Amino acid sequence: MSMQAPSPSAFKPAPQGAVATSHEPGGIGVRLVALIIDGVVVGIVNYPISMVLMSAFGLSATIDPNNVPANYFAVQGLIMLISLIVPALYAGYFYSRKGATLGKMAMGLKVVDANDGTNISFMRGAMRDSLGKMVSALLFMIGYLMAMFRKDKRGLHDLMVTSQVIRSK
Amino acid sequence: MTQSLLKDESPTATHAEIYDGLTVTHTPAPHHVRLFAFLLDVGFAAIGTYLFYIIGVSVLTIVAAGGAMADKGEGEVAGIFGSTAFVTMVIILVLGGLVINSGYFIYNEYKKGMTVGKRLFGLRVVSLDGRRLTFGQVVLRDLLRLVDCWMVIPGVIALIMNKEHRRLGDLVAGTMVVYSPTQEAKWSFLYLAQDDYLVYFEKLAPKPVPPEDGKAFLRFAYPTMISRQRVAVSDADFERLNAMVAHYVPNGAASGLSPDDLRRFFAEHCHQCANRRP
Repeated sequence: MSMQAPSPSAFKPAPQGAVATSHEPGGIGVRLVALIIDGVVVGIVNYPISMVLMSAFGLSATIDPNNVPANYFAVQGLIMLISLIVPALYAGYFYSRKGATLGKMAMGLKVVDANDGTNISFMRGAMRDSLGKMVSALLFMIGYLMAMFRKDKRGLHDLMVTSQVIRSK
Repeated sequence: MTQSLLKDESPTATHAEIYDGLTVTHTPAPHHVRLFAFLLDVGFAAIGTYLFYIIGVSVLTIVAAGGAMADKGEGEVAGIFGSTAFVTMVIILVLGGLVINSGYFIYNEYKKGMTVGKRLFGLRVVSLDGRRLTFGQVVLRDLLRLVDCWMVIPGVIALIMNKEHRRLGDLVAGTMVVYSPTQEAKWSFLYLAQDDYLVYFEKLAPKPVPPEDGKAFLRFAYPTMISRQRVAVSDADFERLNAMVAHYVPNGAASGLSPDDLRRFFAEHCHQCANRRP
């Protein structure tokens, strides 16, 4: 193979006729819209589950009127747990398989590993959107806001799992 | 593995149809892909509905307040909620939401044969007679979406019952949703466009790269080619990376491709191999 003089500059992207792929970091505005779309999608999945659980509670209340408070808290706890788990599974699945959740896809964004550009794993994806975003939302959304001031537009939840949001085309 | 990208049909399920002596092979859309595309579309259309509601609710408040005053003037109904203006506005809001949602599907399917979600997941609505979708078909499909998607059960039964995965709306309108894995994979390319990658792939016939090797290469390729960071690559590293390219793309040297282009192709190849999960 005809090897060039080995120097770091030889590794830089070459301008090529047919190829013009630029993947800038994803802006905050588009990501906010993506977040809203994801919220709707997760809501669509969550809502029937909560509905079924609440109906089960209603049924239990008529059958066994003595245990109403206990059942109520059990059902509420279950609903809270589900509303934590469903977004995590959703994010984990889509980040690891497709590289983007449905909202991010719609807005032409992609979440990749900040070091090598591959899709992040299921566990990291799930952590990013559940625990990571919870931490980011603390203290007046400081974790989200810091993405505005960074050149690579990474929020706290991105830093936690070494991910980065880029434009997909 | 990457070979499957070159053939635009899944080996499992295909559906052949004949139109004027022409045989077309359609792959029926897998159920989960269709569900994802639908969820994406509903979420996307919801943005429009949200904006409409935000504007609508502010107008509603003003109009309803005015309406309540007018009603009170006639000495009939007191309070905002009973006023005719309020009821009219609520009806307008509900209908408006439905119109935006349906309008999004109808407009996109009639104009392009696919919605945003369908495009991103490699789906397309086709008419079974092989012609362009008529406006009537698209509207019929969309009206029956109310039955298929919001009552769920009839739609699911219809989907399971036929081989072409047609829901009730498809059966009535004479349409089906076809799937192309190549189109879906189009968005997974980072370093090269899909078309270029496939042309190079056929020419160079690279070996599959195990994820560990691929990621080792990409740790240099991603910062330099995509995220544009300055990464120090020592001479030894550079030799090693070039040796890696030569090992996995044995035809590369003879192909006449410049070393830069070759590295870029190999980066995309590593990227594709690393992202493909067993």
